[in-house]
Amino acid sequence: MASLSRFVVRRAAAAFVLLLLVLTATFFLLHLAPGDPTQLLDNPRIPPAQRAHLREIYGLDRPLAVQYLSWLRAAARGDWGDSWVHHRPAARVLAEAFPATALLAAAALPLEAALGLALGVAAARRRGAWGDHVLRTVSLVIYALPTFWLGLMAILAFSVRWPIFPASHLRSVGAGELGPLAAALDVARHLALPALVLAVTNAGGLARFVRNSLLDTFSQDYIRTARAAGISERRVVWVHALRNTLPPLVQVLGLQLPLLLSGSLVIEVVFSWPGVGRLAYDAVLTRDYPLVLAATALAGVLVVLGTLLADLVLAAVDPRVRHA
Amino acid sequence: MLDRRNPLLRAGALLVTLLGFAALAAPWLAPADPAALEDPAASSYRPPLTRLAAVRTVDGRWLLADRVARTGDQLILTRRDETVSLPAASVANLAGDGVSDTRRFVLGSDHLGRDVLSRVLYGGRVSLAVGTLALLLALTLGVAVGAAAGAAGGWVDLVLMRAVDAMLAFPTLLLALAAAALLRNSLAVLIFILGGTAWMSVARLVRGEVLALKEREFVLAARAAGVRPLRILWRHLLPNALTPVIVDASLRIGDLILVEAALSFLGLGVQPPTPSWGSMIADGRDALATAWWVAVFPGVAIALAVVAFNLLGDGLRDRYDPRLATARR
Repeated sequence: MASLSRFVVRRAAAAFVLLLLVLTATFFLLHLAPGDPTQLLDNPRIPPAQRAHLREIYGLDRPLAVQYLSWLRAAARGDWGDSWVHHRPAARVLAEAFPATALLAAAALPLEAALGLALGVAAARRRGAWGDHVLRTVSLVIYALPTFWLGLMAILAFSVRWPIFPASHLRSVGAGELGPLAAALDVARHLALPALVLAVTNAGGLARFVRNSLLDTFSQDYIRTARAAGISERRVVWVHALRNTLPPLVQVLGLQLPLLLSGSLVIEVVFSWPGVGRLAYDAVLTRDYPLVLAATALAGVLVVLGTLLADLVLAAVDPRVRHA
Repeated sequence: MLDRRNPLLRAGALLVTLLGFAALAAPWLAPADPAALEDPAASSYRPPLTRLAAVRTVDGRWLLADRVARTGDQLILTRRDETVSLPAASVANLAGDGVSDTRRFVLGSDHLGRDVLSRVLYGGRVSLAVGTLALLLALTLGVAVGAAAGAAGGWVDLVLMRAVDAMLAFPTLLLALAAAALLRNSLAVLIFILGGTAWMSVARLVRGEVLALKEREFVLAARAAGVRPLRILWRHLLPNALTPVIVDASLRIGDLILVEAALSFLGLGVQPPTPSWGSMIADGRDALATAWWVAVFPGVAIALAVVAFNLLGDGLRDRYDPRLATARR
């Protein structure tokens, strides 16, 4: 296991450098772009002197290099600064929004995996036949649907025409009065549409991936041997073949983890879901630099964690990776 | 392209050709000017297949009406729930009891009374052009970096590929969002953002191909014959690495169209009044309950375009990727 821990340390070190690069790039992108947050106060009733004063408070009047170094020093201590819009620590604002996003991802990921696997395996087993064409077309079409549009269509169908599910937010007004069971049910009802839409649109790509890698595996000798040995087709597919498509699948799902979090941004905007994605979107629009940087850091950490997690599972499963 | 045994390729090629034709011929196909504002009071949010009479006054204004009737020297216009009467003498296009012009909204109209069909056609021009140009940018960058890394090897390869890994790990959408928000209002910026976040996997692919080709006999022979490295790269390595790159590109353009649509939907991509599918859906979001057609049709167009390019890509891959071809037999 020594090699495994060395592997983790090496990966973590690379991840740290990467994160630093991402944040530095974001910092300079934010600060070098024309305009700054005080332009939002660009109205004639606010005298220029006051704007200058605000820039001074935010520290925007200092040289860029000084701003960068002091931000970096604070960030290293875990101080991400106060959000300029929420007037509270940016890290805390993010932390408060995180559970909603995590809940959405936790609901969508298993659904996506189940749907993607089922569609992909079913298509691969019927390779070249009618069923394959139909299932491939279904996967392709749901992959091609823009997530935000499918979200709107879901709202149109299930919140407007047949009002079964609420169209936005995480709780009903006055949900605080409900008992624990009723409150959980209320959240579940709000969760249904965004989670389903997110899972369905992501499952299309996954199904295509599963089908193609299963077909690659099917052409290998050991599968022919297993079939020749009289092992049932179901067992050949689900145990022998699928196990070998697992490593790439784990990697894809590992990359999906951050995608589910940052990629659910559009869904969070459509469903007014109070999560990290919508917060980041608003922060970009209002030029809330500390919040944008903190959100980028969070997204970066998740990307790194997702890949690291996938690599770890991979290393545990496949000794070749460990010793590479 | 017209391989009988490959229905995917045929369907994809046909759809892509049709889409390309529709986009190029939009000025001739579109029944109306996509930005025209003609009498929004009467024409906003009309459902599909609505037909309105178009009254042209002598001072050149257009008035739209559900029905037009003539009583004596007055023209009676029924506009939604109200009726307006107009002296017949002030109307320039009188014909019999009514007027000679009509406006037909095949796919309905939006909040400003603009024709959705025309906007979908013109929006297709923008979305396809942005997607294609971003793809070309991604291909140029990806092929250059990948070929350099693969051909040079050593520390050049190491540095370039670490850079690719770093770029791949960037939270793309957030980055694109920040860049688009901060540098907004230009199609060129949008194309750079999309292309700049999509070239990395092209680079990986090209590097892999070049590395594999470098060991093939014809390349070794060329090198033994004293052909200069750059010429080997240009004449032997790149042409042979091109097929998988083209297949990959045809699959990638769908993703670019989807990202562009998402950015435009969020208000950070193509800016009004230029129509784009994503921003049209954003327009339709505000009236989802009462005017579904504004959001529905551009979404169908996006899905159709992405399906078309993916069918083409799948078909090309089935045909040109030797690994899959043998797996098939």
